[in-house]
Amino acid sequence: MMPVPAHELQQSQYRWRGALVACALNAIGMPLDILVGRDVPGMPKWPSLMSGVVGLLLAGALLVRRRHPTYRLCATVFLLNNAVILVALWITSGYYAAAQGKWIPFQANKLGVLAVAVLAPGLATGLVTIAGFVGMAFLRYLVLSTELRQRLPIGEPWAIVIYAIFAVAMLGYRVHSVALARRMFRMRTESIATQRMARTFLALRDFTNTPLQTIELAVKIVRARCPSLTPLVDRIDRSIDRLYRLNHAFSAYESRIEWTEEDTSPDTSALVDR
Amino acid sequence: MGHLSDVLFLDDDDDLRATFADLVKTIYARECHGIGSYRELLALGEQALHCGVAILDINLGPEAPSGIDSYGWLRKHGFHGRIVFLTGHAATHPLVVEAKRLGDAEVVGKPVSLDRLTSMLEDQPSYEEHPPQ
Repeated sequence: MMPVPAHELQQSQYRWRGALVACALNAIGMPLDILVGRDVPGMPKWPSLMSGVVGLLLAGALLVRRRHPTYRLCATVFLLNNAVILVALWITSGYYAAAQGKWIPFQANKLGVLAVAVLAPGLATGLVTIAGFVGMAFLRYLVLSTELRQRLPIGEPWAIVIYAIFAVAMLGYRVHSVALARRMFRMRTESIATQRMARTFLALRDFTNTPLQTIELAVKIVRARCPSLTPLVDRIDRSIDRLYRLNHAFSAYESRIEWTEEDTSPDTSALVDR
Repeated sequence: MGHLSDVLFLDDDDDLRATFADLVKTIYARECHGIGSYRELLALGEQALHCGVAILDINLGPEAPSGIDSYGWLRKHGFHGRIVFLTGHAATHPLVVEAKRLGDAEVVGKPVSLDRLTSMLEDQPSYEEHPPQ
């Protein structure tokens, strides 16, 4: 199995965290709606509870797959989580609208689109979910009776469109920023890999310099002491020259290294033996 | 007691040290004091200070005092001969850069040719001009 590149893994974890937070907000936030709507006549508790429980189950599914979170998993969980919220809001909003007193409509939808902008695992998922929150609000408005519609504050349900515009802008900006950070992370990772390779090449070169020097000097001694071995020594000299060329080729990596404190007393033998 | 014509050679590689000493004796007919560490330099003491030229490897192993420390000791104790740093490291390496900054010592990369070695051993300040203090 191919190892996942570090920048891909970071992206997957980022998406996974967003989906998990969305599920946690559902699991905690929707049951709180029971408290908010406790004085509304006939308000059923099951839609909010059901939404919260589904949020909890989806969070559990994400936790089970925390080591291998795919984009598909995160997007599916995110969409399911928001779908169940929309179902719950559809039901409860009918009771809120029919209740006595002033209802500020679709507050959860407005909060939802902003949360989506921050937590959506991707642009497409985010746009679909924002459209879901806005569409549900308009559809709910359309199916309300004329009497109930007239009781709504001025500007409703259009206010959610303004929220949606802000949410889409925030989502786009976030997705762009994440892509930029990802690109920078990838470049940094590549730079570290290049540095490591350059360091290894130079360590190899440094490691061979001393033995090469010893061979070269030993050859000079042999040449001085045993002139009869000149043809043999010449061959060794030519071989040394070839090794020098290799040595010189590694010098190209010198400029690619950012030296650190650890390099002031390097153990080249250990680096080569690794 | 060392002599001006003597060569001090500091390198942590035993084979290079022995070969270098052998070469200096064979080709240049001079005495070479081969030492492998800063501690051995301290042990050599006066003899080291009376050499005409000191060739010092910069990196003497991990966590060990470097050739630059040895340079400091030699200069501090009145060594007026020529000091050459011999290094296998990159020219941009921090220790090499530090050695170059010292000003009165040359930095030569390994492997050094026989011609270069000859010039290192021949062009050296005289003992009379710069006696050790």
